[in-house]
Amino acid sequence: MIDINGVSMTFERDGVPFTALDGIDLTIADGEFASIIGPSGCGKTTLLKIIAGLVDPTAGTVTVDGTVIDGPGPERALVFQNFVLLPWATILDNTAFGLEARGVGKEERRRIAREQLARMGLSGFEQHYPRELSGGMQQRVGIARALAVDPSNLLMDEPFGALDALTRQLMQKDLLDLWEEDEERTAAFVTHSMDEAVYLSDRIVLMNTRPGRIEEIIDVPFPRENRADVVSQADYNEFTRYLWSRLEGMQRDDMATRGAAG
Amino acid sequence: MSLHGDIMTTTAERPTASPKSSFSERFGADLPRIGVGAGSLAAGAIVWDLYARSADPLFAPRASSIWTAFVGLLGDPEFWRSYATTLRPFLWGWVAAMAVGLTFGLIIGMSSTIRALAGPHLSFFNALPVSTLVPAIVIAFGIDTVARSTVVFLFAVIEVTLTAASGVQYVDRDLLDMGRSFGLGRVRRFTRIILPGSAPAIAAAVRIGTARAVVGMVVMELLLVSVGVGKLISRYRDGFDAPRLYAVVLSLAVFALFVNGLMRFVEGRAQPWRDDEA
Ligand SMILES: Nc1ncnc2c1ncn2[C@@H]1O[C@H](COP(=O)(O)OP(=O)(O)O)[C@@H](O)[C@H]1O
Ligand SMILES: [Mg+2]
Repeated sequence: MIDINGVSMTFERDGVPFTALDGIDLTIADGEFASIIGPSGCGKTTLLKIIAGLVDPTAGTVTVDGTVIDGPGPERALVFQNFVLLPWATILDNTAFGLEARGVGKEERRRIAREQLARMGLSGFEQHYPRELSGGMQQRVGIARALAVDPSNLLMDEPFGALDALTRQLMQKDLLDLWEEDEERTAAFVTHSMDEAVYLSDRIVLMNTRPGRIEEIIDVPFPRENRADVVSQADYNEFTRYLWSRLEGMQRDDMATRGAAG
Repeated sequence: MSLHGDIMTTTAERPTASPKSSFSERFGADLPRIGVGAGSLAAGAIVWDLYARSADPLFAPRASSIWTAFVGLLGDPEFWRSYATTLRPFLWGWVAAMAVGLTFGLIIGMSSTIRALAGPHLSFFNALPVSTLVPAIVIAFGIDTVARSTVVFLFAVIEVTLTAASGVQYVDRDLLDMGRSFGLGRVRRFTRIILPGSAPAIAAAVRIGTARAVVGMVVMELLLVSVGVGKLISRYRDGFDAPRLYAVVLSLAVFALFVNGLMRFVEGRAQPWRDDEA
């Protein structure tokens, strides 16, 4: 469970304070998949880094699994948009890296890493180097590395943002399948794709910009079990149309404000 | 425009590495390039020779007589003794410059406090022509091996430090964040991310520092009372023996080329994961 309580983040920019996040309150329940979506610059990455413990908020607290966090912890793992694999390490060592960081012995961590790679369909690539793999495969390694430490909370920052449309759809489907296998795991998933958010999540957190804030939290009205079929239904179209109108409004407001300000 | 097309980003898959021939993999060079290089050098020798035909033989001896003198030197035990004498302080100075420069460079790269403290000093010594320090070194250490090693050391150490330090600073921040998110400790952060991440810069530091050390070695031979190769140079100069003088200079060039080639080879080895194009 992730409980965000009054989190604000102010950056100093050329000596001028800049509010990237303003009073964020959000609770993501155990086993829930929550997507965070909003215009670029609304603070999605900053919020995720705060939850990961990589950035300290200027105000507010984040409670994960009942403990107020003050840094990274073993109950959380991050998946990065640009994969962030060690270019000098093999796929196997990359997948085992989180376990190595946590002091798991060589044999044990390699066994777990092999298992996770097999789950991601990457058996046979253990001894390859990241540059020999396509973007989609590299992100599978990124996900395998995160799942290898068996975190109760998985944090993902636009994990499929750098992939082409086809690879992206395949990865979404595989992630959903993977998700079905574990009831307990909680996910905070940052995206700027509506379809992706609807397809994957239980709830969608709509964020707005200047200052970064939560605009609306929406339950996805389709059951998890038949997400793949739902994509063709009429009420799906209606739902995405509503989401789109909200996002479009925000983008246009933002452009208007900037135009007026500049 | 569909909603899909509007929101999804389309990025081409990254290409996989192209296979390299085993020769270029091993030597970091290819045959055509070596051929062109050799041809160009030969052309240079011919141009020199054409000029030397009409010039004062004391200033520009014929290429053939330089070559004969060079081959003669190679058979002369004194020539090799001179090199041995010169190479000892070169090696000491080189080792010291690498040890101090790389260690200091890594520390400066990792600590912004130390970087702020050391920065002005490094800039000062980087701007200072090291040759101007030679008289002070003679006063401090005399002209023995310590003094000679010190000259070589001073020529190389700043360059090594700065190159290594900049390498550490350019280690991918995302990798450090990733390590931190998994709770990576200080020691492993250094051994698993910072050290391999700055390996290319460390290799470059070694290569550049070695080239500087060779310059320091020659300066040391010419500015300090000569004992090694410098002694040969002064002897042939004083005897107006131009072919042998040029042959010694040629041997220094060959030495420098050899050392540089060796360093490039080591540098290529230090980063096998790197794409050639990168
Ligand atoms: N370290 C930082 N220093 C100053 N400004 C920052 C920093 N990190 C993020 N920002 C600013 O905060 C805002 C939110 O950034 P980010 O969280 O990356 O947005 P998003 O991921 O939603 O696009 C942006 O305007 C960005 O420029
Ligand atoms: Mg972002």
